[in-house]
Amino acid sequence: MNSGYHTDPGLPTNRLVESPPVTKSLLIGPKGLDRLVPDGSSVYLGGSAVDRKPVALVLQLIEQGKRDLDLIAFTGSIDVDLLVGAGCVRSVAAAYVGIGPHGRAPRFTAAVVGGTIEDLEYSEWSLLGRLRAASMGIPFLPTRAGEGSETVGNLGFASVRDPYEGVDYLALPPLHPDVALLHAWRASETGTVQLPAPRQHLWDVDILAAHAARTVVVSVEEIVPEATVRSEPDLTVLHSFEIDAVLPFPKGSWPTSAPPSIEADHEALARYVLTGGDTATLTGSAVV
Amino acid sequence: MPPTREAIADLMAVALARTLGPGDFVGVGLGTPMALVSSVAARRLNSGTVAVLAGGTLNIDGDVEVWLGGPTAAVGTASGFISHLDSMDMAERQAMTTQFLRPAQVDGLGNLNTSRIGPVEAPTVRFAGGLATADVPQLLSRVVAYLPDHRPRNLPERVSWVTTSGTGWPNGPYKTHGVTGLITDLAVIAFDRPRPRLASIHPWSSADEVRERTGFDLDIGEHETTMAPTDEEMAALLHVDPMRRRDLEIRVPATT
Repeated sequence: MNSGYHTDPGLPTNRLVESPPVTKSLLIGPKGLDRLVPDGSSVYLGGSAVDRKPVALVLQLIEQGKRDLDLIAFTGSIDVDLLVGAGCVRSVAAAYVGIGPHGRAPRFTAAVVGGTIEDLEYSEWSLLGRLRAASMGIPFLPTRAGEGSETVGNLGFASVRDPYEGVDYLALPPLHPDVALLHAWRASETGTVQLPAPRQHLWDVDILAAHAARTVVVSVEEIVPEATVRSEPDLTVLHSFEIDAVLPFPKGSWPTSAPPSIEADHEALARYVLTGGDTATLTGSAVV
Repeated sequence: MPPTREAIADLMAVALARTLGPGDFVGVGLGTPMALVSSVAARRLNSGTVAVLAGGTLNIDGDVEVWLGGPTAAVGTASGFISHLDSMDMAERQAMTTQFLRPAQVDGLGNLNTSRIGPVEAPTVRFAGGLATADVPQLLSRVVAYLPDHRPRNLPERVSWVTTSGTGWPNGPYKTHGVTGLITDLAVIAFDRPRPRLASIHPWSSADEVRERTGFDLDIGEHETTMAPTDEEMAALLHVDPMRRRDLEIRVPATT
């Protein structure tokens, strides 16, 4: 990787492409993850209901016995459910927690009804608006979305008066997760992260979360040579200076999808829900 | 005779489609096949003058099955992709005009509950959550709710939890009308302020049944019978939903 010359698969094989000197490898292993996610961290989980969930990273955190995590997810799914079921979680901030077409997230739902975790339900605008304020570096984002909602009112946001028209709006404060955990297609060792085109729905929310978070960890289907990412720079979604660590985890989103490698495994997801969140239904998979 | 599941799904789908017209831009949320089918059918019935955005994919004509396959499946049929944050901006600047929402509960003010039954500290039921249901009635010109299980528990005097305020702000800077209507398996209700009004009853129901099965006060007054799907509407449904995805949201056995 550090030799400076690589064969570019996107060009005739006899053509060499010069790479700049590699300054820093962002590759880490499980121990590195352990250091980046201390107990009590606020952790954003990427992906949506049945797509690109960072399941392999989540299973690592469970194995490491994490405690008191404050989870943040736009659409929580089996990732949130596994961490809650394993007792790693103090609170969940999300606009949705469910297993897509398969129904409610069993362990999350039981924990909320049982009162063992704090349920910080958000609306879509209030959660993504806070991440957008963080991403933009502004002190708050004004909006009328969520006006009159008990869900949004319960979060205790202040309001702000439009200095031009004199109208009051909700003022969404920035939200900076301690860590964002994402799953993507491929990355170079130095942290250029790519998704295949056309991009899956809600891919941009993962990128938003990465821009808002203090630390960003990305698991990928494969680590590829620098020349490979440079052969298709239009597929790059995160740059080396925007992430802190990258781990190879082939099929690391299973049973959710990771294009172009795997589609959502609806049988496995349905089995998980039908058994009330029995993690034994996930054994025998590539990720355990 | 009680209606079949298919008859309920067809009538609800066309009743939703009839709320859209030329120039409308409808955003379809996750996990609402009835909303998707109705929107795409409305696009067909309005000669393409209704724009539909679902799952980041714009204006697929034909079988909604393609739509459910996501952007990769949509290559060759979609006119384009719109990223999620861009679609939120479209809603906030009202380039998007409307959305169909499927709550667990609706009350007489058009308030919606997609969150929980019982208090927030000790709920007896926690639903998956409403994503943008709290937001879009305060942003879009109008929102129509649908609920294929018309009974007092689902249409109470006050919802157990106000995920969404049904009240808009027609004279405010955003010019929103909030939740303007509700389509159920028995009737069409208009959220006139301050008192909701029965707009039409489905052919298999009656005003007495609707009154009995509605937990909030309803102006029964003058109302029509919901027009049965026309041949053109049925042809549109057949074209966009040959696999009958719209049936998935109807309870079995159907409410009678």
